[in-house]
Amino acid sequence: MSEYTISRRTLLTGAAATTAVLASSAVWAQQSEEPVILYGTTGGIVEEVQRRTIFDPFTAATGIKVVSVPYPKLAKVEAMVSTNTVDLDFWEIDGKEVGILGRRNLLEPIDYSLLRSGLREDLIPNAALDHGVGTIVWGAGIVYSASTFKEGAHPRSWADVWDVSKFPGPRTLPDPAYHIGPIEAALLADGVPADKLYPIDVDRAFASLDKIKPHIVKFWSTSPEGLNLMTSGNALVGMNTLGRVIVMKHEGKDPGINIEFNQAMAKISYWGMPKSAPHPKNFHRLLDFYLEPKNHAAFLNAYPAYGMTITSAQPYIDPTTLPNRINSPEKVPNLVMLNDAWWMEEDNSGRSNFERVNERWASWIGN
Amino acid sequence: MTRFLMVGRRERAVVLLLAGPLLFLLCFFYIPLAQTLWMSFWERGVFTLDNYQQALSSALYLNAFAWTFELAFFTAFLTLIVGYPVAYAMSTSGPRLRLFILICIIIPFWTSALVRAFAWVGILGREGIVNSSLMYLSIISSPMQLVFNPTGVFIGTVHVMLPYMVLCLYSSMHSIDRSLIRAAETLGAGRIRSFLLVYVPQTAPGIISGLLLVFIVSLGFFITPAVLGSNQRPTVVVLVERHMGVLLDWSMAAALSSLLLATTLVLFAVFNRYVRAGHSAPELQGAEAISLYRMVAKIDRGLGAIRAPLRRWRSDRPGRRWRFRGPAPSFLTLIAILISAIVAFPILLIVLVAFFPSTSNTIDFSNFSLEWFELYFTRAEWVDATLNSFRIALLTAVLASVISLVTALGLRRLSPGIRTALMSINLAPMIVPAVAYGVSAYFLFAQLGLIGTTLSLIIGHTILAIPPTMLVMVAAVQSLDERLEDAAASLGASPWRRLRYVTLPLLAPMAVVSALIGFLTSFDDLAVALFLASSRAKTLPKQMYDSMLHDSDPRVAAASAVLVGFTIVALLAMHLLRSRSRTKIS
Repeated sequence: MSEYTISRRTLLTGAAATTAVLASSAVWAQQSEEPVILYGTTGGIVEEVQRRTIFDPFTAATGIKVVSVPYPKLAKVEAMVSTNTVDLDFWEIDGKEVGILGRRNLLEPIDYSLLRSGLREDLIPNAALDHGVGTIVWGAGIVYSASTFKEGAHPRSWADVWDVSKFPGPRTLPDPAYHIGPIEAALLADGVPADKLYPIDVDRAFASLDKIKPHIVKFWSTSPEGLNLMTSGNALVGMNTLGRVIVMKHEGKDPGINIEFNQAMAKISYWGMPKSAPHPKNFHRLLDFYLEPKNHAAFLNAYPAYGMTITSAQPYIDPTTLPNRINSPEKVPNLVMLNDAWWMEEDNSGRSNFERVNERWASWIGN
Repeated sequence: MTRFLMVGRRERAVVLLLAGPLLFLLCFFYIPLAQTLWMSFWERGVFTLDNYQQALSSALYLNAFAWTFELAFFTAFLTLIVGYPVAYAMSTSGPRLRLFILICIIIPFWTSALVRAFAWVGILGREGIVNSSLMYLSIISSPMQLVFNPTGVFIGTVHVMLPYMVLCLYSSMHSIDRSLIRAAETLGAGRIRSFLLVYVPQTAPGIISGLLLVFIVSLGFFITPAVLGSNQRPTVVVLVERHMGVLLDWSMAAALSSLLLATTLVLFAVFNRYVRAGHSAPELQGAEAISLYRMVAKIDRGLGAIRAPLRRWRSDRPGRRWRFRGPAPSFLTLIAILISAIVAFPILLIVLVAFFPSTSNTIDFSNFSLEWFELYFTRAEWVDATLNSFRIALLTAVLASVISLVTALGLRRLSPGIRTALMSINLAPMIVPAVAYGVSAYFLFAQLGLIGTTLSLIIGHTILAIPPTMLVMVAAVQSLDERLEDAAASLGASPWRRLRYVTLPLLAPMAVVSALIGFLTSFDDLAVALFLASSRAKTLPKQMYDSMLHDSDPRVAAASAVLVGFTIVALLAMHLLRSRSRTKIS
């Protein structure tokens, strides 16, 4: 696909695309840049906290302004890169997306030599990728209706979520196109130990999903949708991302749902830079600034739903936020770190496991 | 074609008239789309038909096509059933009631489709208002499943499509001579019979254009079935979106889009062949009316078998003689008011959520707060996006309705075959999944160096708005009484004077409707904005979508409330201005 993409687009855009492909860090490292950086963001609470704790201090220190631009779809990134109209320096992406985009030559490689020395070793496993740097750890886990299940008599594991006689009520799980999908949960429910999840036994996962399918009111595709299913009482037990629920509880608000942290699943989220981004040097400076232990902790203390990606930030983390922090080992004993490597593996025809599972899912769900 | 070219001066002017809009469509729709469709035949640099073979042989894709057409078909008919009494009440009621209905019907347009769908989840869900009140009244003992199944999907889609249908129907009802019904009643027809046999057939053009419009727009449904359905039966557009957005498999996405386009064009051609074939404009209206009349008359005759013994039974009974009065206007009006209230209800809830924030999905009446409005008004990106959306929608409305008006006027001078062909060319943007068009448009504007400009959004939205505005304008031109123009011509009026003083004033009300539809199409668009919106040119639906999708940002409710408030104020102002100018004239 990638060779084809380049040839077709070269036809479309002529020399511009070729220059874009040839452009490398060696070229842009020499150039001077205007003091701006374009951040693709969905806006909202997370960005406000980022602005307060990272971007504003960064601008004060360097004079470089962080400008928000609309969060792009992957298809838009491909269109921008191939027409050499990139209007974006970095945005937050999932590990699978780093894989898909990196393979298609749509991401600029990270130049670790521009970041502080020792950072690679400081980053947690899988956070230092060729085309992306892990900036937070986020997670999804078991959520349940606080009014239906009293604490202590609530589902405590994925096996409990699957046990509809012990914990009756409609369920909701994510669609596998979502970053943290139902496949790993299905295997955990079926008794697969967390360290034996990969390579995924797809048949076993679907057999396990067969058992819960009649009780699923809906497989959600966005996390607010899943949360809406829970808060509106349409589902009583399910899986959702933990961020918003944690933040609400931290602020003393009651969302009406509780989290069971046991067997929560966590993933790293990355900052990536599209090919031929206009301000690559500024991006590396911002990245370096953000991955300073104190700055990293300043953001995480203000937004306690996320976990850190650099180990040296630990001493600066506010201990009062620990009870809910996704990757503090003493608080979440059986955290399952998901890995995108298996999902991105390709067979001989160039189809990834992610594509094949999604296709199987599409015919499974319709029957 | 040669016959078409060997025509008089007047006809040559028509060709010139049509050339502009066609060129616009060619440049900004067909060429970029062709580029995308071309991709469907290429996989890894090799020409292949694999994508088509896969799409036509796999049960997954065939099921998606079946469900997509089923969804569009039933949505069209349900919308007609729900919309008819509403449009009827609008055309018969006084200005105040008409204003109330109009506000209720238009309001849902002013908030993101995603927000609307979530509001329905809250209403129809297990603990929603419907289930809890029915359970409170002991009508049911356990909650009914009203959402995450086809019921929920159809409630959502009819809710979205109702304004289109009502505006189409209203346009045809507006001009009906109501004395015909009175005449039928004096001749002994009951209210139901005169309504069904005299009134309904005259609204045939509105019914047909409404059904077509809703059917075709419904083929592109994406968010509504995704949120309110069970996700067990994806629509074609959902699959296109998944191939393009998640898997970056453009060839398959392009193949599916082309198949949807091709199937729809075939259906459209069949429809034209069997329903409209061989009629010129005034005949067309007459033919539709006659066939509808025949259908209703057949049903009426069938009912006669029941009516006769009933009448005999009634005449045997002395004393109190009652006569079934039929659907009295007040009865239909009552239904219309009820429907309008239901349509506005989800939006009312969103507004209440904005004023009475609570952490869960409920409304906390003890907690009145303007906090979210403050958050909305103090953030430049929200205010900018709102103003920008207005600007884009206004210019889109003007551009699309001018193009539609010009084309509709040109079309009536042409032979039926060419007219059908040109109509299909103009309606095609409607059946291309908007995501596919968004990507194609991105490539085009990148080549033109217009990426990230407001102009690119206006052009993109105009392409989306041409089909619905065109359907309205063509229906309006068809119902134009050409004798008035002929009369003006025979009195020596030049073509321009005729256009200026006869044709355009006659078309003015419908031109306003079409501009309104164009405005709403632009204001509601998400799919094209997903690709063309940039830091310099944002739109509100894109802003709302981002917030809902990733953060469930409370500002969405505040933004909706502000827009709803604005709509009500704007419509009230229009109402006051119109009634003032009317008193001045009289």
